[in-house]
Parts: sequence; C-alpha cells; structure tokens
Amino acid sequence: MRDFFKTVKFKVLMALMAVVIGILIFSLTREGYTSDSASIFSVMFEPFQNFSSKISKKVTSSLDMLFNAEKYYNENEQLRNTLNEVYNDIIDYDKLRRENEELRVLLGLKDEYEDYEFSPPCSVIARNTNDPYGSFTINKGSDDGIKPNYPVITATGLVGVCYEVSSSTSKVRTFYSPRTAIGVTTVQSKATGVMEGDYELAADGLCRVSYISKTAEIAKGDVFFTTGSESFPAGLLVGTVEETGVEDSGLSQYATIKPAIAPETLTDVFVILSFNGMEIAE
Amino acid sequence: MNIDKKKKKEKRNGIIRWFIYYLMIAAVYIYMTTVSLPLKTPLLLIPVSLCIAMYEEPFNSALTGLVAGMLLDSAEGTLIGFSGIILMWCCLFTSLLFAVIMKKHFINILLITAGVTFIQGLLRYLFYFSIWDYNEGFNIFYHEFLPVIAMTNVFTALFYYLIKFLVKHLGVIRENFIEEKSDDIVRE
Repeated sequence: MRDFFKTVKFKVLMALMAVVIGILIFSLTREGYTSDSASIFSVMFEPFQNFSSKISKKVTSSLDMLFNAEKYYNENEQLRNTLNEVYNDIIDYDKLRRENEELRVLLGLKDEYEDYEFSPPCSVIARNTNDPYGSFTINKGSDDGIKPNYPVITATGLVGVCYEVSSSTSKVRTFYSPRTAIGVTTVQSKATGVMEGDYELAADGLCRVSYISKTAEIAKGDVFFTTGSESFPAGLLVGTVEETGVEDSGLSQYATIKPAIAPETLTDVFVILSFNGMEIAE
Repeated sequence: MNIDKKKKKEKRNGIIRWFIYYLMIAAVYIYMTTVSLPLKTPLLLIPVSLCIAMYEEPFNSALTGLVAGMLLDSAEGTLIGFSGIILMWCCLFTSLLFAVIMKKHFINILLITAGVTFIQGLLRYLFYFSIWDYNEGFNIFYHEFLPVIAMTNVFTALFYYLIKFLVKHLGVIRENFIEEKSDDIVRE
C-alpha cells in the first residue's frame, strides 16, 4: 500500500485534487456563477436530462395514478363538495367580481407587468436530489440573460430565485428555503412581513411570514403579495394565510401561509430579467 | 491462446468494461436528477463508484471516484468538488484496502458504503444546513439524510452483483498485472 503513495500516479492524483480545490475556491468567489469547468456536467448531460425527464414524467404520473388512486378518489369527493359550496355561493358572484376588479386596480398589476422583461419559457429539467426545500434546475442560463438572484415566477405567482447559473442551465432556490427572504404584504389590511422558508412547514407545503406588526389585522384567507424591492417586483402573488399567531418574543405576529404555487409540481417557469427599480447585486 | 492474443483480448475487455462502468455512472446520474418518486432518492453514485473501486486499481478508482463525486455535487446542488474530493479519497482507500487487506465480500463493501454515505451526508449536513443555523436542530439529518443513507445502502447489493458479474466476464486488470509480472519473471 505504501508503495502506491510514492508513485507518479499518486502525485497526479494530488495535482488533480489541487485543481479541484482550486475550482471549488474559484466557484465560491464567483458568487453564484458556475465556473465553466464546473458546469461541464450540467451542459453535457442537459439533452439526456431533457429526454429522461420526459420519460420520468410519464412513468411518475402513471405510478402516481396507480399508487394514489384512493387519494384522488377522496380528493374528487372533496372537490365535488367544494363545487357544491361554490354553486351555493354563486349569488355572491357579482360582489366578488366587483371586488376583484377593485383589487386589480388597487394593485395596478397590469401596469406593473408592462415593465417586466421575461426570459424565454424555462422547463424544469432536474430536481436537486433530496433537497427538503424543493430546489430545481431549469434549461436556461446566462446565454439567455439569466443571472444569479433573478426572480423566478409562473403565471400564478412567485416561485423563488436563481442561485447558480451556467451558460445553459440555472439552479432555482424556492421560497421554501430559509435562505430566500421576501418582503410581503396583505391586500386586505396592508400588513407587511418577511416570508421565510421553514423545514417543518416546507414538509407540509407551507411557509411562514414573520415580523408582522402586532397591531396589524390579519386573518385566515388573507392574500399575501410581494411588497417590491430591488430584488423582487411588487404585486407577485405569494399565498393565502392559513394560521396566525404571536411570536415567542411577543413583539410581533407571524402567519403560516399556503403558497399559491407548489414548486414540487412545476414543469415550466419564467425568469424576470428586468423590472422598474431592479437592482440586483451580482 | 497465445500471449499477444490474450493481451489484446484483455485490453479490449478492459475498454468495454470501463465503457460500461461510465455508462452506468451516467445512467445513475440522469436517474438521480430526473426521476422523482415518493421515496427519497438514493445517492447511487456512491455505491457504484465504491463497487468499481473494489475491483479496480487505485489510480483508476480514485479518478472514477472524483468524476462520480463531481456528478453527485451537480445532482445535489452542492459546490462542484465538495463530494468529488470525498469520493476520490474514499475510492482510493477502498481500492487499496481490497487489494491488500480485505476480502471482496458483500458485507465488506456494504460496511464501507455505509461509512462513506454517512461521512458524505454528515459533511453535507454540516456545511449546508448546520452552520447556517436554521433552527431545525437535527430534524433535517434525521428526516432527510438518514433515510437517504439507508436507501443508498440498500442499492449497494445491486451494484455489487452487477459489477462482480462484469468483472467476472470481462477480466480484471489486477490479475493481468500479476500475469505480466510472472511472464517477466519467466523471461528473466
């Protein structure tokens, strides 16, 4: 065994290790940009991942139907009940429509969306193995103008941010991650807070909004939108309040929210390349 | 069979064997990054590279460990090189251990895989969760990492027998090395 450590091969291995450590340190200093040598795998395997992803989606959906038939049956029953309730509520339709129009005007969503510049549609090609926060890889990268910390959305609302970008792929960190802190506000009471991921809540598909003023009035069903900052545009739908409470410190409130989007089921997203007031540190 | 023909066949077998090894590694990587079943995804690149290391010479094993580790980094979203360096050393020592001390037995490779997955998992937990102080204590390690470690070890059997079958039918470099040496001795 000792002889091996004296051979040229061992010295070659040491040199290789030094190169890898160099790449590692270089990647750390690039703050989110994958170095060319490090991104070689994602670029090399991208077509295979695309192909495999399509097969996997088909197999997964078939297996899903097979294993979760009972669950879907119950869900179907539940949805029937919900639909009946909706029929009962239809008399409130006009009122809701007016309220909806008012909210649209209030948020000025349509106007604000005009200043967005979107990336081409991005497909989810891989999911980070065993990540409790559901991060994933999309098939667009710096060649399409994407940079680290750019917000990722769908037509419904906010998904997360890009955190590692190579020329043709980007890794996306979802709002489930504790490292993604987003300023949010409710439409109803204008209560503001910071949305952060939490491991235990993420397992149940929920998130937490902390630092809500103690005097703010928030209730189950209130809708949270992004407040707007240098990193996120205002007015992106985040989710609805499930539960509220007072923080252990007693100084502020928190809310548990049900996100409008389930990142684990996403197949296509968009990256916002620019918006009014955008100023992202790279 | 004369020596030249034998050497030629062994060389061809070696190329085919390594081609299959890397095909297996690529397939496992694609599986890890695309298939999402309700169960945790095992880190199959670890048992594959360790089972290869058990039968191959140290230098090639270490290189394979480095490649498999870097692919694992890409799959797990960790910094490229993090698992690469861990697996490079683990494969190197696995190869040396099986060449010098250990018997090529399933229990031995199972124990080594368990140790390596535990070390890799613990270091990933330490650098990617623990030091960021997410206030989740050991919850993530218990509920996310330990099931993955267990699942990974279950799959060791599959790769052990698969690679054993390959080596049996496509020859082993170490045996050739000994034969070449004996040839040299005879010639001398």
